[in-house]
Amino acid sequence: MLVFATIPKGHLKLASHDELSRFLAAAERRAYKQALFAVRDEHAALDIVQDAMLKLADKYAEKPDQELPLLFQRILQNTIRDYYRRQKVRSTWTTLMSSLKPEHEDEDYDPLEALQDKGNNSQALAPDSSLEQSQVIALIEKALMDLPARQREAFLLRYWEDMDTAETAAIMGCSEGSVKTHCSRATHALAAALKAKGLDSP
Amino acid sequence: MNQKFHPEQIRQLLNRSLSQIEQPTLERLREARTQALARYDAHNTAPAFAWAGNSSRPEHSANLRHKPYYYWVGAMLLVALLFSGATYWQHATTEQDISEVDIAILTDDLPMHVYVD
Repeated sequence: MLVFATIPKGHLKLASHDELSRFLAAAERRAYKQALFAVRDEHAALDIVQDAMLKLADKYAEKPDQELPLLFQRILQNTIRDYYRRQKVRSTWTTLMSSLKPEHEDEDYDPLEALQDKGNNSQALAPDSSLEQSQVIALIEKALMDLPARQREAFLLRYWEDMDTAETAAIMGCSEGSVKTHCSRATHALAAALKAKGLDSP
Repeated sequence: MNQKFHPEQIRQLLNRSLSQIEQPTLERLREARTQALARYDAHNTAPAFAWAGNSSRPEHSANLRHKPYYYWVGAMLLVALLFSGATYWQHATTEQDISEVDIAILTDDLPMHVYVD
């Protein structure tokens, strides 16, 4: 359970139906994007956001409205982690079952078609000054998806959700030092990833 | 890298990306929000069970202070209805037993346990 000592008790006010509605309407798109960056599946991301909303309404809606953003983020991140765990168990079983069968039963399978040339990045390196904004956004979203989960979580909470270090640490269940480290690494990784795409600064 | 990397610029672009979310996705988000609010309403209007002490969650007792008094009136009416129903049932059962004994006396068919004191 989170304890937020920064909120003075005299100003505590329970969230009403309208306040909860306004909060969810304001948070739902960012929450969806966060889940999408994490799980890379639109339907799963929508399910995660819906689960988080229901949990918030069911268990914590009677909390003061000032606490809703942090509680919702905590629930959202936990729901994403639960999804990861379920996927891990599922993939373990899938790997186990598929290892019992030959990998390529199809006679037409050509290994050259599936071979990836990781050293050839000549196309990606060419910078294009006329990139449309939507393309830039797509590049940034791809770079965010490629970040390690904890770095992405810390970066988005700090710089998109506008949480301070202490709040981010409370949501992530780690120390403030770890949050700073994750944010720093995420920033460097993003900068490097965007530079590799020919985008020095968005 | 010549230019400094600014998270604020990333933030602005991400905010702009929110307007690019497709309509079916927005519709599903709206449905999810509606369901959550319905859950909130159902949670806040569940009347008598919390008062009877069936809930162990402290927020229920805190929430009672904000309930309108007519919930209490409804709960009292429910209790009165249950009590009167139980009394009526008990009374009807006793009358039926007495009439059965009367019939047995008239037909001289009293069972042995009637004579046992």
